[in-house]
Amino acid sequence: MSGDRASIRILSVDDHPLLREGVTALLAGQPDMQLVAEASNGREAVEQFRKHRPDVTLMDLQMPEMNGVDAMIAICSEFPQARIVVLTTYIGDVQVMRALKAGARAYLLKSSLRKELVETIRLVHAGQKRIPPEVASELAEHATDDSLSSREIEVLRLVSGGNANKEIAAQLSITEETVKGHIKNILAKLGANDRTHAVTIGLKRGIIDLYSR
Amino acid sequence: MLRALLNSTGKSATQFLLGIGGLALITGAAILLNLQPGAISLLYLIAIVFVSLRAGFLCSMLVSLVAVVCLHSYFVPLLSPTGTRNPLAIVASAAFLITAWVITAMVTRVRKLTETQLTLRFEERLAERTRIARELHDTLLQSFQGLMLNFQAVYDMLPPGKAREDLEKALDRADRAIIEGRDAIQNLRSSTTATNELAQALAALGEDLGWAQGAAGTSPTLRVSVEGTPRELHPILRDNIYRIAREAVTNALRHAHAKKIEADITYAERLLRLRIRDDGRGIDPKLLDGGRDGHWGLSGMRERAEQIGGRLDIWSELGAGTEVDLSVPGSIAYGTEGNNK
Repeated sequence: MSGDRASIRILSVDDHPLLREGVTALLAGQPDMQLVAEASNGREAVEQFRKHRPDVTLMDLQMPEMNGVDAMIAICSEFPQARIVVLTTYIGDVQVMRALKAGARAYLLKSSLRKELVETIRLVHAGQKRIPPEVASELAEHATDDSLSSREIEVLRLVSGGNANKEIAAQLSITEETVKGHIKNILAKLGANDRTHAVTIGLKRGIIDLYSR
Repeated sequence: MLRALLNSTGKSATQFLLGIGGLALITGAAILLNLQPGAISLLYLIAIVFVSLRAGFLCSMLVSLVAVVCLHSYFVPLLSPTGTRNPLAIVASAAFLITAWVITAMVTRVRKLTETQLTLRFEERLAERTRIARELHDTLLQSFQGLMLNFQAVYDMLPPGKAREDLEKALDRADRAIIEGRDAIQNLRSSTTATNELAQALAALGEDLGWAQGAAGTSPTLRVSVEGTPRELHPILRDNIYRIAREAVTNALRHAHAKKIEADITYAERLLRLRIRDDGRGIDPKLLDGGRDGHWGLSGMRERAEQIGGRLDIWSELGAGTEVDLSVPGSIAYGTEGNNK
């Protein structure tokens, strides 16, 4: 069945070997699909894409070296026609928006891959876009929210790392008063009660993640 | 100083009175036993150590002043019977006051240090939680999600029939379990009570437990009231307080079969207090004292209270309900960080 001309050629990108193995097993049962290459980080993904020019790319977001969003930006700037499906564990509206802006055609939660992956690959290959309802409602809920500035995101990331205001000020070479002002804005924009709450919201909405240090 | 006195809560006033009471006892005993002034001073100093351990710096200073007055009026008069000044008494009282204040300052410092260490432990535990969450996310969760795809591949190969149907059902259950696990990991990143409002968390707890109990025919009520302005609490501390409360409420419902539970949260300047009362069957006093057999989760509650530098009193009598009283010093509860306005 491989080598069939009509088959959809797929590149699978995920840093976790067992997940890639699962994708391989699932795709092996589909006569119209063919896994042509795998990659375990963003950099490899870009290389493999250049080499194989897959019809559809399955892209994890949180990866070492180069994350999924950066990889998508790199691929799409070179190949605007690239069809990329994002696979991720958590829904976070900010993360979703970033992925869509970077060129993702579909967004899938890893918990629903079993039932939706194959169908989504076919849809995307046919030129359609797809976002699951729970992700869409998450997007709608925050559509009118003020988004954080890049400086505020930086501050929030440092707060999540357990830094006190003084340490944040030193790391960003700004005054402690400025840090306090940023934090006040962050709390207001996110509707958070306190710093910890802001970090929780930041993680949930994908503004920051566990890996950005 | 007067303002500070007025501001101090009832608790520290009680501590002050207790300190004075202690001094009175020592003085009475010393007069009866005809003790030497040196021995009396030593007893006074011991009393002052206790006061400074339990109450604040100011309270301890006041008690030591009272102690010096006692010392002079009963044992080492400032003026000799002939009316001349007694230089020894002046030197002795100065030495006594200095010693008392040095001790108080040292005890206060040690207390401050302990509080700082507690805060440090909180930060460490928060960092540890995040690390565990990341580990679980990277290993267990991804592996399971990958394995589910393998199972699905097998499912796709099966011919229609019972095996296929049963596998489908099992896979659906596994999906739900993995989603639960995923959400638990996400919660581990933050804390059990996502919002800062302890009262809200307790009210929600009442709804959860009440629902479970409702099936048995009775529907107990949980009333939560808040006194003072809610303050920002450290998440680990909040978790521990919430878990102590949950244990108390669970006990009241499951073991004591209470109909009415009342929870009062008091945000005072110098302490955070949580009291939970119920009208249930009460706890056997033997269990209350022992509490180590793991019954009613009492030892767990005490351990948690100790971990957060709080104090837990449980009062109960068979047939007369139970009252759980948790208090955490404000300096620990609200933290020392300056930006919590």
